[in-house]
Formats: sequence, C-alpha cells, structure tokens
Amino acid sequence: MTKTTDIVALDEWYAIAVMADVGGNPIRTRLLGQDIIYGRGPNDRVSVHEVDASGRPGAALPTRERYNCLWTSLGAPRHEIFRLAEAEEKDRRVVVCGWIKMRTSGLRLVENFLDMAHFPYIHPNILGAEPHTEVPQYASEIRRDVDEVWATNCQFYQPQIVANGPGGMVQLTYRVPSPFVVMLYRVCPSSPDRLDVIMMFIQPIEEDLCRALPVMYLIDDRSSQIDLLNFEQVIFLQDRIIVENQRPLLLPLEPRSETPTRADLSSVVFRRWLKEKGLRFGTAEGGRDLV
Amino acid sequence: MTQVATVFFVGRFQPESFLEFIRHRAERLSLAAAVHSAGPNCIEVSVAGDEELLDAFELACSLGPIDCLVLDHHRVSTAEAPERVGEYRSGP
Repeated sequence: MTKTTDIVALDEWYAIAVMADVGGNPIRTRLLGQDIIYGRGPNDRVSVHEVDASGRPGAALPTRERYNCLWTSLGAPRHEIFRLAEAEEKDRRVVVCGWIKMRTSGLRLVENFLDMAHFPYIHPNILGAEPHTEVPQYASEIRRDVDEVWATNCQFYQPQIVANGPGGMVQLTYRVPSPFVVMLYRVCPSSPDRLDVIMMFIQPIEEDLCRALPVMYLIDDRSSQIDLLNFEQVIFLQDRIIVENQRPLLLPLEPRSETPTRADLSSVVFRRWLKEKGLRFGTAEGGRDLV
Repeated sequence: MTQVATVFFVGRFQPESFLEFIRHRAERLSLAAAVHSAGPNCIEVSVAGDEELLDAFELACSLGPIDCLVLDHHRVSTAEAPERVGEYRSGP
C-alpha cells in the first residue's frame, strides 16, 4: 500500500526502533504504508527520513527519544508523546522485550491487550485459570481533559501473582494514551504501594500488518532478564494465534455483527474514542475489505 | 429476571440510522424496545429484558452505527414496560 491519507493517523507519534539498535548503518522500515529510513549520522545525531519514489532519503521527519525508543511522525503532531511518571523513578528496572510482528490491524492488538476475559483460555495457568473466568464489573471512560482512554477498578484472578506463589485477585488499571499505545498498571507484588507498568508500543506498518514492542518499568530486582523476556514472549505468541485469526482483520467501529457484553466495556469505549477522533487507518470502515 | 429501563443516548445522530440500529440490536437480543424520542442530539428508548441483555443492548448502542456518535449515555430503571403504542417488540 502507499502512505495513508488519514490525517489523524499521520499526526500521531510512533515508536519505530529501540534506541540501542539505532546505529551508523541506516535501517529501512515502514510506517502507515510509507517507507522510512533511520540511523545515526555525524555528531551522533539521530534522524528519520521518508524514502522517496526514487528510493532515496526524502523529507526529514520529527524525532524523539523516549522510553528507550526512537519515535517519529509522518504528520504534524498536535501534542507531545505521553508522559509516564513511573519512568522518572530511578529504581525502576526497564525491560525492552523485542519486536513481534503480526498480521493484523494494530488496533486489534490494543483491543486484545485491554481484554481480560481471554486470560484463562489463551494464557491458562499464567494470566488466568478456569474456573475463575468471570470479569468483575469495572469502569472505563474517555478522559477528555487528556484525550486518553482509562479502565479502572479492574480485577482478575491470576493463578500465580508471583513466580511459584499462590493465586489471587490482582488489581489492574489500563491506559490508552494514543491509538497505537496501550499500557497496564499492576500492583507490584513485592512492593504493594507501587505499580509495575507494562506498555506496548505498536508500529502500524500497513492497515493489516504491524509490529509490537512490549516495554516494562518494574520494581523487580529478583527475576532474571531471560525469565522476564521469556514470560513476555510466551504471552505474545499465545496472543498472536488469536489476533491473527480475528475477522475482519481490521477493527470494526460499528458493532453490527458482534454482540459486546459488559466485559467488553473497554473495547467499546476504545472504539468510541477512535470514532470521535476520526481515525480510520486500521479500521474496517476506513480500509479495504479483508474479510 | 426481567427488568425495565429507559436508556438515554446523547450525541450527534442521524436519527433514522440510530433507530434502525436500535431495532436490529433489540431483535438480536430478543428485547422489547420502544423509542420515546429521537432527535439529532438525544435518543430516549425504553427496553425490557434480562439485566445482562440490557447491558449488552446499552453497550452496543453506545457505539452505534458509523454515522452516529454517542458522547454520553445512561440508564434509569423504570416501573413500566414499553408501551403498546409505538412499541417495537421482537423475539418470542
């Protein structure tokens, strides 16, 4: 496909690389249907350019370095990248988990991240376990003062709150600060007055193709790095089977052929927010029919 | 257990499109529904059925058809079932 004309999508910020991977050799990737190239030039300066029709670097794009990632935009963002207060705490352990590419709309990934009901079935004995399948009532809202979606008072039974420990109800808060970024705050098992943060940055490559990068800011000095990476890899590979098989691949903004229930409140609020914003990239209403 | 409620939707509507969506959803969920008022900024509908199905009705309608935008919605329990006059009833 070619570069999208969806101005709402164009004007957002997107994580496109892990900073540690940005070196002197230019790397080509794709964002919203547009080929782009990034790299570190003279004086250690990082730049991102569109690739023009002749295959050469074209227009320079805005860049930011935030949360261990390189961010860019194909448009003119009307706001800065969201702020995460926990990222400013010095004792946090930052875990960058690596990119996972998926054949689906990036919006489908956000919606899957927000969904608690699938935990016992897709992540059995990790994030959930039968017969504890009920999603207790929670609240979800569009916070118009910050233009974000939040889901609060979320609880779910998890079979192991800490490794090899007993199961119990965990308290969760979800936040969607931009259409292709979603995060989860979870009460830290080893420090119950603080919250672990698990974020997912999505690079929408095409309407129905994206890659996702989980980044965690944890209070955890016990787990090994390899264990944390393995944990996230297992979760995302389990999710991949589900999201790549959802139809349509693009996210419907009109629930004509679906029957959402109370447990889907976050999904409905997320879609309503996208409708309000006028975003069409990656939605069934704005993209080609891939059913 | 059957409950009766009035659901208010506030937003920007193409009334005919939203009403068609309401009918479609009520039929799918086997709910009795009666529209009390429908304007470009507010729709008021009375529905009767199981609480979980009323939840599902309100939730789906809070997203609604693509040409309508719901900015707010709330539900109030009422004593009276949808009236016969102007009623849209579906299901068994």
